[in-house]
This record gives sequence, structure tokens and C-alpha cells, in this order.
Amino acid sequence: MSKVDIGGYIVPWALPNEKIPMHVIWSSDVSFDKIHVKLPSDFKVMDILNVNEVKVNDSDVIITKVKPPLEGFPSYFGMVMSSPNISKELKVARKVIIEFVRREKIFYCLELYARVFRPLIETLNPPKEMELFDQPEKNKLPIHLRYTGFGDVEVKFEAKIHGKIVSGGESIVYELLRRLWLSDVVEKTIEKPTKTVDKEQEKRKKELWVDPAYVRGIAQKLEEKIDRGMIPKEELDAEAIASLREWLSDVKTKDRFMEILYETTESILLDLLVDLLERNPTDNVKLANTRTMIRARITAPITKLHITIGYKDKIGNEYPPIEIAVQVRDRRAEKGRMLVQMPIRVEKWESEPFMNVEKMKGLKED
Amino acid sequence: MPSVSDFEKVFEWASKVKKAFEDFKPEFRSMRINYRTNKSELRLALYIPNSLKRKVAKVKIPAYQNFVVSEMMDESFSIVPSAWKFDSGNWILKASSLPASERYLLKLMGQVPREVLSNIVRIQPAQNRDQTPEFDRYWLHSMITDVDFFKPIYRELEIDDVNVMVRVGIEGCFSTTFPKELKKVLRASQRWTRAGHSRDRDEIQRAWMELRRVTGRSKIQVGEIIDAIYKLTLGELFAEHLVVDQPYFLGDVKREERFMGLFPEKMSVEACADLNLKQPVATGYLSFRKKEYMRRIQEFLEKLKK
Repeated sequence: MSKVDIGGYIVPWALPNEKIPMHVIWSSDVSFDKIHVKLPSDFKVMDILNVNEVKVNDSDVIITKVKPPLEGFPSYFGMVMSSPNISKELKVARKVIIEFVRREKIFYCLELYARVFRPLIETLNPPKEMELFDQPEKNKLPIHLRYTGFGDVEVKFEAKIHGKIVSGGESIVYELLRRLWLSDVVEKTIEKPTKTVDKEQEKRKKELWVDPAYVRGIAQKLEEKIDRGMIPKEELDAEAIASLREWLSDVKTKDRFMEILYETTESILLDLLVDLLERNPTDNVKLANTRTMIRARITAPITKLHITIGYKDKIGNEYPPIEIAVQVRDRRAEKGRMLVQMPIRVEKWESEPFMNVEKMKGLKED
Repeated sequence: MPSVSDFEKVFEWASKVKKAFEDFKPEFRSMRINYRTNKSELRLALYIPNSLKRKVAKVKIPAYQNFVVSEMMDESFSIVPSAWKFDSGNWILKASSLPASERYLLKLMGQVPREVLSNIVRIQPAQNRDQTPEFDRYWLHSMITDVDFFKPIYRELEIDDVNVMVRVGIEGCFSTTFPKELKKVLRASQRWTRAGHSRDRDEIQRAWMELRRVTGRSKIQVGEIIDAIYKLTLGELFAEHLVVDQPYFLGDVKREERFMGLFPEKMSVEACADLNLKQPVATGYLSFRKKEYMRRIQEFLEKLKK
């Protein structure tokens, strides 16, 4: 092969299904009959740029003409591809071969590697059984998880008994709605805290500031939920739900709604702060819901609880979830009478993210 | 890839201007497009010998697509003052204002629709960061999609401020930096405000005791914490913790406008590059010096504890 001035670049890391751009650039004195680009067989070609004549046959791309540059300027073509399959390997390097052909002979060959990474969440010592006690604080389901690999993830928990979902995220919007109703309807019946505390709270309120656009956003979300008939049913009895519905239909179009929203600003801020701090248990993991609660009426002495821990990366790739089956033994004095309410909590997160993947060696090649 | 109609959207007015000057050997010299502002700037060379100066007086060009004549220079590169006037939607050249020069350079400004710009240049940042204990890093890739597109018009082409928008995640920086005692204060305050709305008198009492216990050690106000977070997410302050590789340079840095929580999960960072026919592609990295930023968060919060 003769020495020619040809250079290529491919971005140094990608998630599965992420668009992977690359380009090849050469000086104006390089002449060729075709450029043959060989991609890994499972790769998808998304776009080919700055070319005049090109044929794509699955993973083979034949470029016969690129857009002619002005005299003395470099020629180039660009290509965008993606790796649609989610590999079991956490790191793979897939070879892309670019051959410059003149008179049926390859006079220059370039190899680039599309390096694709993925995250993995595993459970460590998954619990096999748990006991239910009369004191709710004693009900514990210890889950230990480990994050490895590459890519920030969002994790979602779900619990099922006999195939029925018995868990739900504690939506901050629901919580706010519930509280707004309580502030207006029920507050008068509650004994107020001591005066000292009131003063303390008043002082704080004056120091607080919240972006009005944010409050408007919250109000809008609440209204959307109300319009769709979605009201929080958990922890409320039928009478309270009926009362809440009535209140909603009353205040929906009134200024009182916004007024209460502003009045409760302080506790909204507090919740959001705590929410922020608890939503990211490690640098790479974000929880879809800060708190996920199991709410179920358990009637049998032994019940099988299935917990699913699903996770997805930043571009929405969903990875095979973790399944945990737990035998729940009811040790309560009055079995099955009370609704079981128990948060799903990860007691321990281990995190071993890949660092500096740009320079990482030892990727599985093909 | 840009289409023929894209070309017309960008250059129709320029072609008409060129035609209006056909007696004066018009020649496009360069084109500059600002990706961020959507503005295009064309330089048109004209040859106006003395014998043709009378003809110039008849040049009257409608302001096609709202183009603007921004400047006229003579062969000594001096600006010709008041050469053009805009009257009733037409650009009119005043022959009497022309100096003793035969060659002129006309600077014309127009607008390029955003959708056309998106077809002319392909930009992409990494979706996910690469990380080290010191920093988070995002690759950047931008490329002119079709050099032929400009051929009828250019001699020199510059596309300035091609901005690759990177969304730099910062939520984790806050949640992992917050001191334990501050978290305790927050949780206790949360319990207290929740208890205030419940019917449980015992819980109100317990929550109050807990709040007193934790705030006894720390007198931080929630408002102060929120204020600190707002300050830490000001674009100017955040930009101090960003580095971009050449040929990229740092553009606007701001909080994401549409954040759902109280604090922005991400900062919007513009990494810009200038592309031209010699450098039709730009690659590089945007690095967020996360450890340094987290130290800064800690400093802010430490001040609150005093």
C-alpha cells in the first residue's frame, strides 16, 4: 500500500441504539474507484453524508462518488450507524473496516472500532423470606443492589401478589394534592402546634422563595390529574375520597386553589429537597419514584411476593429486570385485618461504574 | 441532507441580488452563516468602472426575504458611507456617493430558516457521559452534511457558532455532597410539616422533639439551602467548572428551563465550533470538572452551617 493521507474518526463510546457518527477525510490528491465500508452484520446504517453515489447492502456500503470539494480542499464522507442489539457483554468493540479501492485493488484500509457499553444491576443476597409484625416499623425487606458497567440508569420497583400489582410510587404531585385538600378542609380540626413553633415557621416562610413558574407548573400538573379523574386513593377511606372529589369540583376554578398552593410552599420545598437527595442513591442511579410502597391486604399465613426491579438507560433501552421472590410469613396477632403498608427500600447500593471508557482496554472484539 | 428547496430558502434572495447587478460582473466571494443566530452574511464583489457609474443610479433592489445591505467597501477597503438607502421596501444605491474606485465589496445580510440549518450541519453530543473521579466528559461531533449545497454561491464558506447542546447532569453532585446533618435537618423538618397536617397528636409531639434535637446542632434554614443551590446553578458560576477542547469553545451555559423538580437536574451547555470547507468536521470533548464543583457545593453548605 502506498502512503496516503487518509484519516478516520469514530466517536469513542456509545450506548446500544445510540447513533454512532463517524467520518473519513482525505487529501484532494487521493483518487479511488470506490470506498467499501464493512460494518458489523447486526449494525444499522442510519445516514450517509456528503456522498453523490452510494449503494447500501445490509452491512456493506459502497461509495463510488463523494461530493467534490473545491480544489485543494479535503474530501470526506460521514456515516451514522447504530448497534440495535443489547449485548450481554458490558463492553464490546465492533470493527468497522473502510477500504479504498482503485483498479480492483485495496490501496488503503482503515479499521475503526464502535465501542458499545451498557449498564448492569444485580442483586446481592436477595431476601428469600420476610415476616410481618404488628408494628409496621419492624416489617423489613432488605434489598442489596450493585451497579456496574456504563450509563446512568433509572430504576423502578414493582411488587406483585398472585400476579396483581400491589406497589406504587409515592408521587409528589399526589401528595401535594392530598395536602392541599387537607389544608383547606381538615386543618381547622387539628390542634395547632405551640406558638413558638408557629413563629419559627412564619420566619422561615418569609425567607423562602420559589420560582412562580415552578408553582404554576405544579398547579397545572395537579389540574391535569383532576381533569382525568386521578385522585390519590391510598390511605383514604371512601368518605374522604368522596369529600375530596367534592372539594376538587368546588375549588378547581377558584383562586383558593393557588392560594393554598402558595401557602404550603414551605412544605413543598422541603419535600422536593428531600426527594432530590433520596432520588439518587448513587451517582449513576436515579429512582423513578423516590419511595415505592407495597400496599396489600395479606390474608394467608404464607404469601408469595414477587418483586421486579426494572431499569433503563438514558436513551430508553430497557434491560432484563431483576426478579426476587419472597415468602411473606404473617406473624401479626390479627392476621389479614389491617392493610400492609411497607416501603421497598434498597438498604445498600454498591456502585462500580466503568471509569474513563475512552481509554479502556480489553473490550471484547469481533 | 439539504434539498433544492432548502437552497432556494437560503439563497433565492442572493441570486436575485446578483442578477440585479449583472452589468457589474457580480461575484460571490464568501458566505458566513451563524448557526446560533440564523443569520447569513454574503460578500458580493462588483466591478463599477466610471463608464458604468451612471447605470448604477438605476439599481433598485426589492428587499427579497428581508435581506439587508449592511456595508459597502471600495478597493482600498474603506467603507463607503451612506452609499445605500432603504426606501419603500427597496434598496437603492446612490451613484453620487461612490468614490473614485472601480472595485467594490458589498456585504449583504439575510436569515437562514432553522430547519435548513439543521439540514446543512449535523450535530451530536454523547448521550451519556464518560466519567472519572475528577470529571464527567461528553464527546462532541459536528459535520457539514453536503459541501455541494453551497457550490453555486461560495468561494469561501464559514458556518460559525455551530452549537452542540450538551445536557450536563448535576443532580447527583448535590445528592452525594449534601452533609449528613443537613439531610437530617431536612428530614426532621419534613416530618414536622407532615405531622402538622395529620390528626396524630403523638406524632406531632415526636416530630417536634426530633426537629428540636437536630436543629439544636444545626441552625440552617431551608430557604438558605435553596438559595445556595440557585446560586450554584447560575450559568456563570457553573461555566467555571467546564472545559471544552479545541476547535470547540464554550457558548451559553444555563439551567434547563423545563425542570420538573425544584432544582435543575441538568445544565444546558453550548459547545460551539466554526466549520468551513477546510475543516468540515469538528470533534472534541466537553469536560465537567465534577469533583471541583462538588467541592464548591460543600464550601457553600459549610458556610451555611456557621
